[in-house]
Amino acid sequence: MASASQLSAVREVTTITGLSEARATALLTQFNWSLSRAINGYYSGEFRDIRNASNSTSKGSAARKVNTSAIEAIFDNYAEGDAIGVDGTIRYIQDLGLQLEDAAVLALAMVLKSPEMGRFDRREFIDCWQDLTIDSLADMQQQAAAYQKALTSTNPSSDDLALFKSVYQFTFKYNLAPGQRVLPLETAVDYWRLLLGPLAGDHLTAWLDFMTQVYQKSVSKDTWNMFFEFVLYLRQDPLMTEYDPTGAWPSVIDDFVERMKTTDAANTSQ
Amino acid sequence: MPAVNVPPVLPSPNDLVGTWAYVEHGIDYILVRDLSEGGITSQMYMSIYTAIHNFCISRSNSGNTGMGGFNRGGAAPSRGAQLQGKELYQYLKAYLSKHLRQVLQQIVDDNLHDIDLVQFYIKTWDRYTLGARYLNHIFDYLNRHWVKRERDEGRKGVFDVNTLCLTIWRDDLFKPLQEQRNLIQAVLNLIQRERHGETIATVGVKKIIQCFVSLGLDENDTKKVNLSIYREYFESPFLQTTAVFYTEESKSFLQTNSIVEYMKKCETRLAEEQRRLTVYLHPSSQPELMETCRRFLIQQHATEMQQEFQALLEQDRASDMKRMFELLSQIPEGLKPLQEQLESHVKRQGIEAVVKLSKETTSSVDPKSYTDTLLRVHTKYAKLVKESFKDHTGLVKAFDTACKAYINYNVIASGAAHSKGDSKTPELLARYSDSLLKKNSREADDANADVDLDSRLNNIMTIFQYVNEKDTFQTVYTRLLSKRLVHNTSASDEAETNMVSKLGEACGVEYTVKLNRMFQDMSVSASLQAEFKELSYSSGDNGNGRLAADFAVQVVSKGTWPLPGPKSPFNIPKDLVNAYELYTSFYNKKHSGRKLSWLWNMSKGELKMNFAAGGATGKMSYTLQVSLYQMAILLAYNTNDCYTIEQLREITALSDDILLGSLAIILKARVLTMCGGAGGSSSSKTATPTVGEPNSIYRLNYDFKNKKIRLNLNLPIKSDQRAESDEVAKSIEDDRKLFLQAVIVRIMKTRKELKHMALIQETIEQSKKRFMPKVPEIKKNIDALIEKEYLQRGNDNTLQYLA
Repeated sequence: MASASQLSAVREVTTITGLSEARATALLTQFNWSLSRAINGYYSGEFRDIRNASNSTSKGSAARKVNTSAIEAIFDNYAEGDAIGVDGTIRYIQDLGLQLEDAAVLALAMVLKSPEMGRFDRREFIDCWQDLTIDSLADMQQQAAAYQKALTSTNPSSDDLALFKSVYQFTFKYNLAPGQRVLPLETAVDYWRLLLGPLAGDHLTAWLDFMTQVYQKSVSKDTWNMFFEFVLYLRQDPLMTEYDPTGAWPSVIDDFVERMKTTDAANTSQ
Repeated sequence: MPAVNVPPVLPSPNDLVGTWAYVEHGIDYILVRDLSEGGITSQMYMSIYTAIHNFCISRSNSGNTGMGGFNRGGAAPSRGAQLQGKELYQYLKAYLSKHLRQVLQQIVDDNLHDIDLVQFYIKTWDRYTLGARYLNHIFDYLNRHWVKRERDEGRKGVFDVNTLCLTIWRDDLFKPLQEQRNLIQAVLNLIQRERHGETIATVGVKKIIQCFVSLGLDENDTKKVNLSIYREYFESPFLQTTAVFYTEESKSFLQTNSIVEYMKKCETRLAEEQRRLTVYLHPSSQPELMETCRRFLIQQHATEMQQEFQALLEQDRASDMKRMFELLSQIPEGLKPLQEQLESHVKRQGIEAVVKLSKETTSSVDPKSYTDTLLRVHTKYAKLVKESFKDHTGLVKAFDTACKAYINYNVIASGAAHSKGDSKTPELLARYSDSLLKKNSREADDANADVDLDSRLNNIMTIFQYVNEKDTFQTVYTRLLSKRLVHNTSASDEAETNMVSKLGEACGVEYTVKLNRMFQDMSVSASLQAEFKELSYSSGDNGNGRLAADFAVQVVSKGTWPLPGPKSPFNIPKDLVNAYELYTSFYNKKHSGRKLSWLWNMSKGELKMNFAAGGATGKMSYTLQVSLYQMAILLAYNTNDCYTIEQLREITALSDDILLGSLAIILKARVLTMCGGAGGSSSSKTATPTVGEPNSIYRLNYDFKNKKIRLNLNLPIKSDQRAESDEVAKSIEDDRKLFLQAVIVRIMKTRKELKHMALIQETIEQSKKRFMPKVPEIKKNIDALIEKEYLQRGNDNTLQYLA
């Protein structure tokens, strides 16, 4: 949810650092939208830049001249007027070598600032690819493949996780119906399945069972975001032995852990 | 005889030998000669004084190096007035040494030990110190001039004559004597004998101890008290013997005696030592002596005492516990085990008392016996804490913790039926207060009722202070109070306000705001009613024709009163429509803009049965006290004798549960009779038809008979009661949610950013006067506030306030 304060923070970062909006957003996301810490982080080199990370896999060098008209040409290939619509999106995704249900599609939607499902706008499309110094379909394919790899790794690097986190958080607001603050449970379940399968493993199945059978309510942004943190936590403590129910976790996760532990205890006592 | 003593002529001032011989003769009288010879006379005293004076002011005397003054040819004329005295001082010193060595020799020769030694020592000391004071006067001139000058010049080892006497005693008698005869041991033996119960001459011991104190001399300032001799020679061996003595005594005493007896012994021993301090020891020994005694009498056996505490508690031995408390309070950490034992004991007693009560009662718990049970345990141990433990902070705290535990959580308070885990105590307490404040409480005509009532209310407050969930009490109490007020069943206004002010004192005014507003509403409502009554009687030509019946209305504010609204549609009986409209217009005229909601469900009335007569003479008509709903049903029978269920439903418009519930009570009283069910067949006539069956018919019972002239049919319907307790639970839950969110927002508004744990802690802290929030409860409300965007999560488990 890009609130007004977040937008103004992005604007400030772009003026101060000269970063593009996309990278400024990534920077701010990394620092939890704290403007001062983000700027400090940028200048102290703590910014885990997606572009740098992915560029090392692609061949481009930062100094390379970007062919804007090439990007425009690609855009026009799929667009009707100034926007790529649903059909164009489907074709574009396929041409990038992705399936529609790939996690990388969400990464692209985030990076290219898709305003809603099945739509890319011209300006954002061109600016973003330009920022990434990518101007050919082949490079775009490579970038998409890199995203897909990062988002499906069972053992992601910290750069991968930073990307993952922003894509994950983006997914919530991206799927929010206008005027809504919560995600319908079925939607949330679909996207959890889509995004977290490799990362959360068996825990995801248990979680989805819990959400659909016990919790049975729409999913708030806090629950959504904190579940990602919880998935990361589970990587350290898969048996949840150290889990502190009085800690800062939302109560829905407390309830989940409680349920897991009681069923575990019941199973072992049998 | 005295004349012989006085040397006729004063020696020449310049004659040292002559002068000393003259002086020595006098000193002999003072220190050595048998006092039967008469001692020194004042005449002698004067003469010696003069001789010394003369010597000291003489310009020169034989053998005095001071003569050099002349040889230096007036270089310093003032030296002509040079102070003389050194020789005299030396002679005196040698004399005293010699005298005391003789005393020592005599002790050795006479082979004095123990008591004899002590007595001789005291006797000699008395004479010597008295003499020393004399000498000090006689040598006053020497003291004031030569000695002063020497000391002023910083010469060591020169003292005024009195001090000189003491130093010589110390060095030439006391110290060698101690080495050869162990004087101190003799004194200690005396004290030991006293400890074993013998009577000793304490005056002598006191003197000898004063002697030790006097011998401690500060060489630089002789006026300063210096306890070095007392400390080194006496106090430290004394403390050592004390330690040994009590270690052994305790051990052997405990072999044959109980620890309870031992504590009595300790008490006596400590008092004895205390007395010893005042009688003959130096007061400066107080801390160390008592410390030693405490260590060996109490500390060494503290564990044994502490282990006995449980038994004393169980046998209610208050005076022994008091003694134990007093002993153990003297040593560090001594009371800690007592606190722990007291806490768990009181808690167990409370819990067991409630278990016993719950076994005795078969049906639901009587709030009075429950409260009394809680109180009995509290009273018993409050008394113990106060009288035996002198309200010691630590023990009071342990007691309070225990009370909190058993009062809130016991077999009745958190019975299995109570699924939410909240304590039932506050509710039972509120119900008990209701039974006290209601009319018809049993002892209404008791002369002491008022006093009694107040002390009972105080008892409730005693338990109340330990209740965790004060909000539950508040909610239940408010509901019960509202019933008492609305149904006019309160016994006395005074008692009501009394109780409310007690609650206010305990929890602050905020707690009782609503309760007070309820009383205000009642008085406003009463005056409103009076006004209406006047209006309805005096209104014009129609006179009382305007009102078919007495019609009283209570108007109270909706937000304050927890009164349930009607849950069913309702047609006002046509006999009442007139009154209803009159009142509505009256009220709206008075307060335009206020909304009047009628609580039909709370309304009641009385009906007279004119068709059937009863009573002793058979001529009185029955009066029925009914709910408004019942009234609506019965009034219909003014036009017809019999209705089907469908007709009644249409007339009253009531929903089935209320209609049937009301009807069932009327049927039970046989005011109406039911005939025929669904089919109306003969078979269903024999079987009892069910109330409310389709087509069932209800007929007015013309043969109605009852022993009583007034019948109360206005009884609570079962389903109502259950609904109410659910409602109470829900209202408490909602209140808590609001309360917690308000607390959290208030905290975050001032702190802006706070760690999750700190927020939880502070929330508990700020809520506990009202109730003990559980962590999951708090977390749910934090979640809610995040969702409402009052808060957001920051890094490192912090929460941030969003303005």
